[in-house]
Amino acid sequence: MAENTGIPISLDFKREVQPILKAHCYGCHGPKKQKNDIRFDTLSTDLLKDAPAAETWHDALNAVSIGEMPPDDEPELSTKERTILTDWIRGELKKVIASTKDSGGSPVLRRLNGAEYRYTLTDLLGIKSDYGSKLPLDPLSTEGFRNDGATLGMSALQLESYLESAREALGRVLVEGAQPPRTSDLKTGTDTINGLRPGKPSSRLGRLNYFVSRVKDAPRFGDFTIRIKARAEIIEGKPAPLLHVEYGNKISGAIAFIESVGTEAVLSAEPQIFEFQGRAEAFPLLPPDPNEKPDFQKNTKKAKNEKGSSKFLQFILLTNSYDDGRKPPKKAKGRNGKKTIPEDPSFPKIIIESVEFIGHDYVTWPPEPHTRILFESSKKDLDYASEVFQKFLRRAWRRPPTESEVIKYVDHFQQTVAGGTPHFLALRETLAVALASPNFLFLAEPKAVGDSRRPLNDHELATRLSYFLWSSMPDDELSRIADRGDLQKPKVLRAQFARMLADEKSTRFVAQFSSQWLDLEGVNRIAVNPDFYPNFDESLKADMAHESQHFFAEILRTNTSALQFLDADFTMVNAALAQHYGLEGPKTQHFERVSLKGSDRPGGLLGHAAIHMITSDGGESHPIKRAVWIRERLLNDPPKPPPPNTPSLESIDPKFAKLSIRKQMEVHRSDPACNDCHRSIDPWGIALERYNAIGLWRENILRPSGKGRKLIKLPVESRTVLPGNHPVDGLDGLKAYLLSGRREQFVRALVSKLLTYSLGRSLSLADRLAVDDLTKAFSKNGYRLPGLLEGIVFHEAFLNR
Amino acid sequence: MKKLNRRAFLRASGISLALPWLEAMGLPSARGTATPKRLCSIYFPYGIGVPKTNHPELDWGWFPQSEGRDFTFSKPLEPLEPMRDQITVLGGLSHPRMRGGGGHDSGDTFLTGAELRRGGGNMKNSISLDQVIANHFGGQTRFSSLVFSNDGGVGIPTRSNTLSYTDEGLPIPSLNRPAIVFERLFGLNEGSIEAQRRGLKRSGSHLDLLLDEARGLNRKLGKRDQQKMDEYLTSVREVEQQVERSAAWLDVPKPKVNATGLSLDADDSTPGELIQTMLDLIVLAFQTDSSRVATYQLASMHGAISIASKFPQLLGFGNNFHSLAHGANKPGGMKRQGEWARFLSGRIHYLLNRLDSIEEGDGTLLDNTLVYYGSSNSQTHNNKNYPLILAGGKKMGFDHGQFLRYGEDTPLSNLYLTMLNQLGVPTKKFADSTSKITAVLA
Repeated sequence: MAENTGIPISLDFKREVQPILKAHCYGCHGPKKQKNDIRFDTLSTDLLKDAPAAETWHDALNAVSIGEMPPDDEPELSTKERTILTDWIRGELKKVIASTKDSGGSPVLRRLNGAEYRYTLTDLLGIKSDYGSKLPLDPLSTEGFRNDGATLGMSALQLESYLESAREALGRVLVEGAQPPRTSDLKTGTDTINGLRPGKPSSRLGRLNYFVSRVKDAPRFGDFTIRIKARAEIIEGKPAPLLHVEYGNKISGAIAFIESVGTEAVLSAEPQIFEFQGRAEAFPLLPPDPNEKPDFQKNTKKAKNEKGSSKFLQFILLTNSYDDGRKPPKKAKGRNGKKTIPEDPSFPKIIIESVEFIGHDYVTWPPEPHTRILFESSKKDLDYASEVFQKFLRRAWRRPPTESEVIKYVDHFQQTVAGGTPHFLALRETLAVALASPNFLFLAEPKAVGDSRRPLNDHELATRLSYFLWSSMPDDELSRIADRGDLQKPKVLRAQFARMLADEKSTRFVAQFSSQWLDLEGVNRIAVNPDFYPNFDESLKADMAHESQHFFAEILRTNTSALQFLDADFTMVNAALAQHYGLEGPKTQHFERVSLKGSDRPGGLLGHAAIHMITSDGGESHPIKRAVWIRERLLNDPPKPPPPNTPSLESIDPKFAKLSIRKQMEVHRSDPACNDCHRSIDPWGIALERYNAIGLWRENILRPSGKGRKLIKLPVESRTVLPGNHPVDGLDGLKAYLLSGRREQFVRALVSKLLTYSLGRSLSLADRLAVDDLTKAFSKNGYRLPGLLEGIVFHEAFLNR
Repeated sequence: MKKLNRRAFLRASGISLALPWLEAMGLPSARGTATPKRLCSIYFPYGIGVPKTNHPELDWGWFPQSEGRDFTFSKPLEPLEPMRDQITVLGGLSHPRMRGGGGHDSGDTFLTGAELRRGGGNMKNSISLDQVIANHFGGQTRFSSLVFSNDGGVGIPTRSNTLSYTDEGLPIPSLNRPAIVFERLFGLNEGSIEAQRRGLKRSGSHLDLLLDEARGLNRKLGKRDQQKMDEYLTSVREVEQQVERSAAWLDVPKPKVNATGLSLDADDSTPGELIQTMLDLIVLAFQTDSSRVATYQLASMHGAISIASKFPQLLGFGNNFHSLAHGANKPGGMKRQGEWARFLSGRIHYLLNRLDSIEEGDGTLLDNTLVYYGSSNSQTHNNKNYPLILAGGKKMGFDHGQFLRYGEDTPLSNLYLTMLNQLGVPTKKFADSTSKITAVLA
């Protein structure tokens, strides 16, 4: 920093800085050329007034600091020149930061995103469901996050959905009348319903067979329990079989609806009881009268070719969802002469002893979610209504409602009743309005006088905290503390932070943050090419994404170094993924920590199959995508998008397809227009070439020959030279270099990503100071995530609006 | 408009029973007495192959080799040849303000003609062609417009998942799930008409309360927050209009459509069925006069987000959208991309054929429907020379059977200005238009 270099803090731009730029930078970023659209001779030096110019200077500072500029083939800056240049930029940036601090960073009203909406309603109403499933998909911010206030929009379509989904949700929660009688339907053997899936109905579930139970008079609403008694035929050295439970209905011979209720590993050869809970409303499309045909028939792929009775029937379907990645054997003639699929003795099996469907299975009546809203009270009529709204708005809006707000809702309720709506419905409807209100849908932090920066109040802080760590509303304890006005006390805040991080709900933070930071959703947009990977099982994609999420969770929970994201001696796998990687260990679908010591699987994120897959095209690896992923996600230095009208590679070299990818990229870079950007992109991806699109080590690269489906083989080349002239060999070399040469940049990137997520907005120039502080403390603290998260929560960037 | 009975309709449409058919044609045609005029716009990303004249796979280039009325269909366009007299191929057109923009940044402005610049420049879009028409005619149908895509939602600026933008240039979220679209269009409302009327009245008063709350909150917010709140306020007003519209349409039953034959559960794992079902739904919506404007984006130009980018691969065309486009100059690449373009042409032919097989007035649905199809890249990354097709709409004065090529001095908005006027929206200017293109008219 300036004060330590002995160079005066106030540098004269014209006299001291401009000559350096003239000598080293104007050649490519001046009057003649404007590489990357950057031009310094005309760039404003008044950073206070010109925000885009400040951003450009900031980028320049980063490029010079990490030695990316000037490029390798240009003369280097002397130490003195570098110091003068960076000190001047830093000094000017500090002025900008100081000035923006007074007027506040850039708070933006944040709408709940789809996941937050779902979690919030789940916590508010106490019933798990797929709330808001008809809402359109939320946009991603430039940083890859789905909780950025500036990008989350609102439209008529959405508002309509919010109102509808609130009505539906409250319709489930609030009940009228006496408790419906409990129903029970017990089966000890399978029924026969044809055409559900390949295989036969059976009590012994292997690769294909299934157990099906018709449920008589199943209720259309309310809680149900499916209770199953089952045992396993364990095979030594094989993972345990997985009991998969689905519930659905058939109309006129076609499956109208079927949805998963749950999956459990059957671990014991002794019979065990498994219970699965559900809500009947989550399994819709039941006609009012089971004998009546519904107006709207849903066709499913499974039911395409079916004809059959016009009967309506509901059923439970049990299968063994253990998957060893192998296809079922071909049909063969059995003893009776019929062609059947032969038994596979190596496949672990489940024996079903009984299945019971229990309808209207309530612990209390009215159920707890109902009494939470419509509680027992000695108050009557309007006094009662007023209390109901007061309590509901307090929870739904994450702050105490004002008196006039409560009055408005009571009035609205009365008017609705006066308009001819039955009492109970009017109440439900009015409560639904509160859930389409901006007070519910937005995390609003009203301005202070003059829109200046101000500390958050307790309720705002509780809200920020709970959306950061739980992706949802504050719970009762946090709300009580906020109501008391105690949350700002450091001791209290620290204790709440620790409690919330330890709470099971923090898995939402892990899932949301890790999948957005690392782009794990990406596995769904890749179609794995069967020409390359004929035996790939689609269900592995989700497992791959889960590996990286569990890995994040493990580093967080064990309070160990975040540098393990770059290199670690363990990973998190379940049975299927372990088999994919050739690792020993887990026997179930649950993820477990597995040591990589002595195995040839690489540790760290760059060894995860999910990362290899999302940076592929489903067949070949894609070194440029891999490079962009590393720079974007790990180094927070995304390359610029390709410029307009990029010349295409008119390389009608007949040998082009046969060149190695590294050679092809060299051809690509031989065009100076491409080379400018790609020389600092490509090498990052080349280092990962040893891993194919499904994350496995390869000796050869496969490439379409251009003739039919034939693939040609090419040797792998993973030796490369990273920008700044750092030769590396493969993934090990890359990891070693990241840990030594780019450690600071990675740590800063991770801090920036977490801060961005926690604030729900892009970081401004002013937030650089926060990142500096947090990075320093994080590094000092052995790169431990809980400490970093706590540091964020206690930072003024988080405590102020 | 002549009222069809079901049997006559079936005979006239030539639709077999396996295809969706209307059970009741009870919709009064009196909402607008004139024959409806309709527009369906379909977009695909990343452009097409534009081989140089000495290219070994020249015949896989998208554009026809000769101009005018004697043009010959290229291989990617061949599936459209049976409808030669119903289509016009256009070359050379583009939006001038996006020519210098990022290579993959031009999709958002396909129907708007606005200028978007990332990195500190203007990121505000403007109204799209379809919404100008929706604003003009919207009141005459139950739905003012339909906005579809294969990705759903709004996506991100310059890589949006929608072709449609409001007056204020805000993206309109697209629907991508056939079951939800079907339910909106044809799903039955519960309860008696009276009960529904009460329900709508309740909704109206709910919205008043929400508006009141939003205004109250708005006063307390900072400037940037108020901009966000404006979106909410606008949405409330739009829903209010929809509620009013629903009330006005209450006495008119929704058309009864049997879903047999529609793959309503098609999703991104079955792209062929998904695309066909979305096209079927557009036809059904037009046929029942549920709406007169539809947009359908096949994928956005965001390979890293678009779930639809894998469609070509799933359908056996060897690679994803983006890689097919980028690989066009590899050996065999022009053919690979061309085969995919050919598949898409086949889908457009399917749509045109469906529209043409349904009788309306003394012509067909296609005669009263203009279908506009194209991309905002020629060769990928190149924001000039958009590949475009105009089809149908003969009763609106369009004439076909030509390949027309324009120079860079003709902005694409000129075509849009022409379309607007022929569709019955008298307009002097759209975006950066300078005059009309009359060569597409009879």
